[in-house]
Amino acid sequence: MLYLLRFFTINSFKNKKFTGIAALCALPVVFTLLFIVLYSLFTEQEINFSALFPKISLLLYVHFLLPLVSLFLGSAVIGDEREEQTLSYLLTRPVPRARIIQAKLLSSWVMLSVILNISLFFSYSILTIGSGISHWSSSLLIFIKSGAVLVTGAAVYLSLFALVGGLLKRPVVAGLFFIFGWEASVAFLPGKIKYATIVHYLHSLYPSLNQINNTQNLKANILNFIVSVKNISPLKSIIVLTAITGICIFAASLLLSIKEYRLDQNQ
Amino acid sequence: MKIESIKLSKWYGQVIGVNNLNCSVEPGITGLLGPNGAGKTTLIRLMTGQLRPSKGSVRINGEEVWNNHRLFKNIGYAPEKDAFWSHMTGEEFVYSLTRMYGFDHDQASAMTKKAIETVEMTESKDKKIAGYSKGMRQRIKIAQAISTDPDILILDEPLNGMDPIGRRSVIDLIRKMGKMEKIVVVSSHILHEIEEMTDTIILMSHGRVLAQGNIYEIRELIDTHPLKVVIRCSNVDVLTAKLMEYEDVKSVQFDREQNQLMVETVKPSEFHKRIPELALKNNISIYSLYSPDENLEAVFSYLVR
Amino acid sequence: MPIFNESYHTWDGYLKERPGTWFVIAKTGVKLAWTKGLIFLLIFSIIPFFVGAVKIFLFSKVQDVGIMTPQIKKIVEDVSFFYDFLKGQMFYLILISIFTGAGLIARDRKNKSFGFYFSKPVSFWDYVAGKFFITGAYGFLVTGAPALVLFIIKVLISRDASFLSNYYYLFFSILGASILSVITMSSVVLAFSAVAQNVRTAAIFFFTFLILPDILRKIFSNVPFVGVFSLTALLKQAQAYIFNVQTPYGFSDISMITAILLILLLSLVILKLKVRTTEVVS
Repeated sequence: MLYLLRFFTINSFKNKKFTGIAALCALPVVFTLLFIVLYSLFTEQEINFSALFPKISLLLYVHFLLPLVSLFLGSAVIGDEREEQTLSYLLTRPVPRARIIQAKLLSSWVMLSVILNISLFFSYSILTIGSGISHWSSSLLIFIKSGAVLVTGAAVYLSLFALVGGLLKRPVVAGLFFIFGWEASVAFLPGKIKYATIVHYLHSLYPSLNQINNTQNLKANILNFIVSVKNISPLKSIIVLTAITGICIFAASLLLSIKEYRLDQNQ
Repeated sequence: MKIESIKLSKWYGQVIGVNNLNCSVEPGITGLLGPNGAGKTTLIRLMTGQLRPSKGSVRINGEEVWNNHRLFKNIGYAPEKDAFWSHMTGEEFVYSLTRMYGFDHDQASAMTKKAIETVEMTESKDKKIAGYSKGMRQRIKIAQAISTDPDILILDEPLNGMDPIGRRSVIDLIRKMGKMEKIVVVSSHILHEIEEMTDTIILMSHGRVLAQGNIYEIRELIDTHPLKVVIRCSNVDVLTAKLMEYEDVKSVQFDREQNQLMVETVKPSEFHKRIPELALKNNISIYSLYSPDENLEAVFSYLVR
Repeated sequence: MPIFNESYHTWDGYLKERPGTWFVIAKTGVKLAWTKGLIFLLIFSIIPFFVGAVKIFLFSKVQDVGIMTPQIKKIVEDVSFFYDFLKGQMFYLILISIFTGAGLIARDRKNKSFGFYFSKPVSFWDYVAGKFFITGAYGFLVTGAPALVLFIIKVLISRDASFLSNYYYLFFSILGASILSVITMSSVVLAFSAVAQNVRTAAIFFFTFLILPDILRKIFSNVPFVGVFSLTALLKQAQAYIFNVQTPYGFSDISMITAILLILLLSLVILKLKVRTTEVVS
């Protein structure tokens, strides 16, 4: 298993796809930098980090980059090997099929977590460094907690999209529909329907959201479009997310074990 | 050690890949022959556990192959498709796939080095596979299949795209492995390549096994097609007259100028025994004797319609 | 039996391009795209049409009975009903464009199929037009076609010809707005498909190109001109202009037209650079 993990991790970083993912994850950094420059050119106000960093990390990372790149990588767990037709090498090694998918998932999770957190760190640093090193270090906990949310979210989304990728021939459209159709709308509806989304549980882990909800100043809450997350505790969220991840990994492993792949078929 | 298929069938929707196939592969080299669409690759994929049988089973040493990863410890497989992780070098490719068998770094490195030397790719092992020619890619595919010295080697069209020198070295390698009492299954639709490697074939068409065994034995069994034998001798007229007395001789064409006759016989073994006797009795010198028919192409063309 | 002497001829002619070659590519592509997944997606995207049709029907009945509130009046008589419908279909247009368009050129590149096309009397424009038609046809099927049908339903259900005589121009507005959206989306998705090595990459980057500027607009709302980089915002603004309703965003018509034209031009340039028979690999 260890060698498989190493093999897939090195493969991921050497793959051309890695450049695309790195470019995607660099976009928020670039735009944050651009914003700082344009903001300082067009306004004279000081940047309100506590207002801006949660906006960027939640909207840009948790709602957009995390699920999108997870879809890209998750659907490629088996999809890539099938398209490149290298799956026949993997399936004819003395390695349980389930282990192959688990190793690939784990390596994708490591790569995604690292890249996202590096990107988040740079965005965070660009926003805070202007206010001085002390501000940068005092708000580091928010960055670490935000990063942890990304790591948790990556595990869940990757395993979910790996399962979707194994089930469907065209998982990307289904995944986009799920992220930007279902989750984008349902997560903000009142009532219990939002429990049927992943992002709702990630919201409850989100540090700035909790902080804001703990204050009475909801009107000043720049994330006032978010419906109340008071009714689910972080612990419950972690349990649910862990369960979703476990079920998806199990199902994806089972699928690879029982499914046969005709590599001469068009994708 | 044996690979056997018992009433093996595989279909894809309405299309039948293999149909109620019963065959057995013993140690030695077995050529898997057939025209395009015969079911060779389907059979190979069933043998290597990539496809699940729709009916029946395929077993290696009595164990079902499907979803039985432990069996692959002893199997080396080179697929037909030209597929690689193209960012890898040849050495990295063979090494990575060898490590997946559970060998440690030192063992895998030694095995990789040996396999690469065997396929004569030592000079190019550090180059990226993306820059390899077709023949080089074929060799590196074979290298990863033989690196662990498996007891069972399954090669799907291994000589595809190879130049004559490369072909020769791969054929020699396959012959060497066959002599080591390993099971070697080689699939091809190029008859003379298989003939150079082995006499034992499985001939397939439309998902069925048409014939299995030694080429010459199969040929003898095809009594609907009399065997042609060409004889050059000193006295064509006498030999023709003598041969026509036998019931198994269906026709004789002779050419006095060339001193040659072509005989069609339905009992080749008896015919071959008869010729020396006739020659001695009638004082005829036999200059040459051969059968243009006793080869794989003839077998193939008679059986595959 | 006569013996015919076959001589070897050298042909100095040229392959004449035949008109309508693009249609062969288009027709084949449309047929190939028609899969179970696409049918499912189309069914989903047509749901708003049925909702709209029911709304028109129900509220015309309400009008018959004589109950007319400002909200009902907005649905029944206000042209923004059709503008809102097209705006809402933008998401489905994106999904359909990805589904039908992301792989159109990427697969040809991956399988090195350009040689098959351009060794025949098929020009670059035939190829692009054919591919364009595939994704455009399905895009129109979820935008312009249902909107036009809703317009026809509204006309048929109206008590008299006043709706048609007052709002006949809506037909052309719907046609114009949907064609503009379809042309732009198809151009962009084909450009991404031409650049990407596989379908998944094309789809993800196309989607990023569409959605990321919208998110940035929400975050950096203090910074002017951010909306100009959002294709969906540009198209919604253009549609509002065509329907002559209040524009949702602040940027000027000139910048909107310039931005859309630039995007179309850039897509064309990318297609011209990437769709070639030979490619030099360093």
